[in-house]
Amino acid sequence: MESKLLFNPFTRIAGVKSLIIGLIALFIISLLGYKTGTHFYGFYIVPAKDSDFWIYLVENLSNWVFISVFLFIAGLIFSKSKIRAIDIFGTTLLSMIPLIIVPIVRLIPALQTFAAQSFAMFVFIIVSLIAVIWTISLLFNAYKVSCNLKNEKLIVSFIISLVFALVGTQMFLTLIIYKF
Amino acid sequence: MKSITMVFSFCLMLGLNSCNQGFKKLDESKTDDKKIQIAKNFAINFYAKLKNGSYYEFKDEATDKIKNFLSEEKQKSGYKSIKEQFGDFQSLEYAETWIQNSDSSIYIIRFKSDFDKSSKKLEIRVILNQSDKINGFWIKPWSDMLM
Repeated sequence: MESKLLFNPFTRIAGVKSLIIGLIALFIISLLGYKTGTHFYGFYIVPAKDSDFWIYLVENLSNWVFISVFLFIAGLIFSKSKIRAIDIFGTTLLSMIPLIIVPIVRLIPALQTFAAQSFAMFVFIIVSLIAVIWTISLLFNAYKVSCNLKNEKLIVSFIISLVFALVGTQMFLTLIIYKF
Repeated sequence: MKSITMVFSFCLMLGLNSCNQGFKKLDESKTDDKKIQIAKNFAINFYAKLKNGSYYEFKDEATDKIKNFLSEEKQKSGYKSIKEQFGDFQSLEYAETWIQNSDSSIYIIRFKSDFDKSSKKLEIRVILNQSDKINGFWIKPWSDMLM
């Protein structure tokens, strides 16, 4: 039961509650990202202490908004149920909480700056992969519960939405935000 | 659970085998201020000249390899492309020093620099040889991972 909650808490937490918890978590992730130099460029995690706090915050906000918007549009197109935007935006935000693992692990001094091909790099990659895979599985369940979709429709629309959202986020960050 | 442990052990072994302990970051207490100053002066003067439309004229502060490579034409075209992407050079600050484990006389000195059209810092890296001559010099987006 508890392990189920780790991958699908959305039957218990959704709507405004998930939005509030998610917003607090997103702020903490951004703050820790700033302290440790952990960028979330879509789901590509870049170790670089090179920017002001607002850049880390905008990266996380844009990840959330792009993913939510594309999943919401996909839900409107493919679901026969009535979809609430608050559910999609709230559960999507909640799904991003596992990303916090990466900046927490990077508080360890050996992982703050490290050489390519080093053991620290290997640890960084493994931790990043775990966080991203966990986040994606949560996003999948959030989309499934919020839009009441099943089978091929669910899988295909989720993958396509996620790809568009990640490309959109990266374009937005590269072409607009990083030019300030 | 058993299979997860096996996969994790395999990944750990793979990681340990692929480790290349080729570089070591120096503690602040072990860095050489004189070397940092040489690298800093060079990088600031280099970019200040190019920002003013001129170019950096090498004397005896760099190896022949660097002097031959960074001709007037290469300096100007390189700066033009940096300027198009990131704007004009503003300032730089010292970040850290690394050495090669196999040859501790070679210093890799990293600076974080600001350019006016970029919200992110760029790395200016200066490599000094055992005679404190510049033997490597480049610019790239900053990463906490030395590549």
